[in-house]
Amino acid sequence: MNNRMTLELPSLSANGPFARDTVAAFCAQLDPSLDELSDVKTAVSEAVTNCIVHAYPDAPGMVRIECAAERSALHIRIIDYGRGIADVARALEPFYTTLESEERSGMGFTIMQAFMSELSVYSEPGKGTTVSMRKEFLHGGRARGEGRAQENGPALREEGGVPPNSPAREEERAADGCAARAAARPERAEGADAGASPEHEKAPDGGKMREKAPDGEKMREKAPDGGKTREKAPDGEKMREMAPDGEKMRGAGAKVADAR
Amino acid sequence: MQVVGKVAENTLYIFLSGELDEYSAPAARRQADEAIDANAACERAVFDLSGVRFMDSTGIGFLVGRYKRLRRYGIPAAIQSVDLAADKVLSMSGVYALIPKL
Repeated sequence: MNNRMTLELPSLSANGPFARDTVAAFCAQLDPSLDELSDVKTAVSEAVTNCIVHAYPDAPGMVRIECAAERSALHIRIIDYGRGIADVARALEPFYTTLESEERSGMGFTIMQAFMSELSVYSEPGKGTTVSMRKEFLHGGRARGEGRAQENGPALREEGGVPPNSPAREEERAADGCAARAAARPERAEGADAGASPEHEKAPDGGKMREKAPDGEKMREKAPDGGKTREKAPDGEKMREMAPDGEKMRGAGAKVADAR
Repeated sequence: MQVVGKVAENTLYIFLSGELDEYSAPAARRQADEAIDANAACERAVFDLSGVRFMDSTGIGFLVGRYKRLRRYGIPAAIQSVDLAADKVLSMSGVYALIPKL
């Protein structure tokens, strides 16, 4: 069954619990285990916290959360239009934080990476950040009737080919349960998508940036900025031994990452 | 998030319950620091996480921050009653090297 959900809310810390609980509620249709559900909630909380703390440090801005359930997987995109990240590769490093004085651990992206099956980050300074995550559920994806969204292709695909007022779009809005939000989808994202061809893009370090939907079809990325600085998180890389206060701490991150 | 400090046998127990995240952390920090400052003569401190229903990486910063405060008083700290989800977050960060799990 394919299904989708979009949530837009201001980057207020009070919205953090609502955001993660809403995504968790959407997850229920994929029949996750309690551990898997907890992983998703934690990853969403990390991403939303980044929006609150880093993307919009001075005043709240909008955060857009897109979820798609597809077979046994949950796809999540968390998008902000804030400050952006100058060095994504560095931001993904364990314990790296720009706000050490505020008791930030610098573990947000590391946790997202370890708790989810896949993570990628698009960002450009001044234009915002898109965090894309996928979680495969071990026993998920039990079929429950025909999903209308199935006709519309892979999860989170942009509806570029569907005219805004077509019956198909109306059906989809009805499926989303919120026509107003569907109508408010940012045009810039669709425009950026039309110009983006992730399968041909390369990271600054030359590494290929690919992301595939579970059925093997490439998931079309929707980067607000064209995704020039997108980086793939280093998978299973051994965590550095360092404490936020300079003391040595033995990190067991690699173990957790491998165990997922 | 509720933070309650209790002293028993010269040990300061700091009981955390609820959800520890960006939203709840400022108040939790303030309450925990008040409990630490009010019981600076204790020999050790124990963070009891049995009531924590949710915790993200904010919890790492929270615990390390309190650890630093306790260290100024020369009080060693420990953690007890961590559920699996919180344990996963704390293990990743290696925080147990600073604040051992009982």
